[in-house]
Amino acid sequence: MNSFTMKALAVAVLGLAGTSMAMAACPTAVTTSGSTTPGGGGAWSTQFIATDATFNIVSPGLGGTGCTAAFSIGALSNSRVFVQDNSPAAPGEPRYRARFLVKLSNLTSFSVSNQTAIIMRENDTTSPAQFSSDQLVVRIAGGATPSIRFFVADGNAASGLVSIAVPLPSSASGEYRVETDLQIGAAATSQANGCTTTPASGGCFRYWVTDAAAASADATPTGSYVINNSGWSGAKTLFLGLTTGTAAFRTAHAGQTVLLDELDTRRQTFIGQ
Amino acid sequence: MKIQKTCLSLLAIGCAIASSSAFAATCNGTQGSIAAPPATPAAIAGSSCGNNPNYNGSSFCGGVLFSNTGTDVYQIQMGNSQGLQFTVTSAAFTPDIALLATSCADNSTCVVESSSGTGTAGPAVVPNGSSGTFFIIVTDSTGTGAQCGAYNLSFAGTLPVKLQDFSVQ
Repeated sequence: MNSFTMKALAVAVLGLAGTSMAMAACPTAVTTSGSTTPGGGGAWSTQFIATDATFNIVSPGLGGTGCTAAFSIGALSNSRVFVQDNSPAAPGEPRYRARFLVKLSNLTSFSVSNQTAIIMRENDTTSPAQFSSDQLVVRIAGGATPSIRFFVADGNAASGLVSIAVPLPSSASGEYRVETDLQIGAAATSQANGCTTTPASGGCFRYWVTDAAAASADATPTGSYVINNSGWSGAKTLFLGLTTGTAAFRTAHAGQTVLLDELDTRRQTFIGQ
Repeated sequence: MKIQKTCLSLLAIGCAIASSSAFAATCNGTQGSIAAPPATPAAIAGSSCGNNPNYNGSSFCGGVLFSNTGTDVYQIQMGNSQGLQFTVTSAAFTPDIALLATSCADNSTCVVESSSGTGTAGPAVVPNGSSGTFFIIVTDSTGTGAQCGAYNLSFAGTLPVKLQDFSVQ
């Protein structure tokens, strides 16, 4: 694997488009229900919009850019909307970093922890038969302080997952940067905050959740987790949007948009601001 | 930039959706059985810490997070067309309660789920439905704080009046 190759992930165009269009109209999104391939005129592999969900590209963007993607789901239990990237190498990336910006200020009274929705998923080609093939799921969850929830595949856990809750920090703009770094590998024992630096081998998940305006550094993640994910084949497909929401989320926030922007994915190098 | 073929993309979606629901985490055991309606069940004082670690890291009712430190489960047998209301209060954690149908697997049918973000969750109103075995879940979905501890589980007397006999002389 090329150690410092930036993946040519098409969904990053979400951010690039916003940057390049700061003084111009935003790109026109395909807003029709159903699956559209390729999505965004080729910017991402495909997109899907349920009948009661919405997808659009609106101004202003996050992180000072001109435009951002805006996603909302409705009240139906299968409501979902997402863009999808299939470009990671088969059978999957042994190490995969992702970073994006998120803004939740359109969610009114996002105050209870059972209001939760998936905003990003990394799916693998293969996994242990008894477990989900998602190596990583990122949720937003309501609360007195809303949080980001990471669900990370871990063969050492009976549920096949470890979950990590990170309360959102204070932010004047209400924009947050989420970055993840997931390495596939074995571990005899899972351990919270056990791999601040990614080891040469072995399962390790590192994460950063910061105010979008604040700097972050590779050496100082918000947290980490030693995991045993050697049974998973590595990220092959990435989904960004609102891929599912709990009943409480759909009831309270039907039609309210979550803004997601500046997605970037890589194999090795830290992304940051 | 890659432009994918339609069949590949659709296949990926299908695989993702199918595989993501393949696994179910099941409770390690219940904290007991609750006397079945139509009698109103007695209130229960419990403590959830350390119970059902199989649920740690998992979620229920379409994505509500289980506590990482302990979740209690009670089995209850419901009769046909019998409803129920239950409430949990705790000074130790922020309760999130639910009723699952059929089994205590995390992906079992979610009949009702409730949290208020305070020390009281509910009343969770279980609509009149089909008879069978159900499971009451007492957990904490906040992901922060103690996420377990002492609580009181109580039931409201809104059970339907069942017609036992009827005749016209």
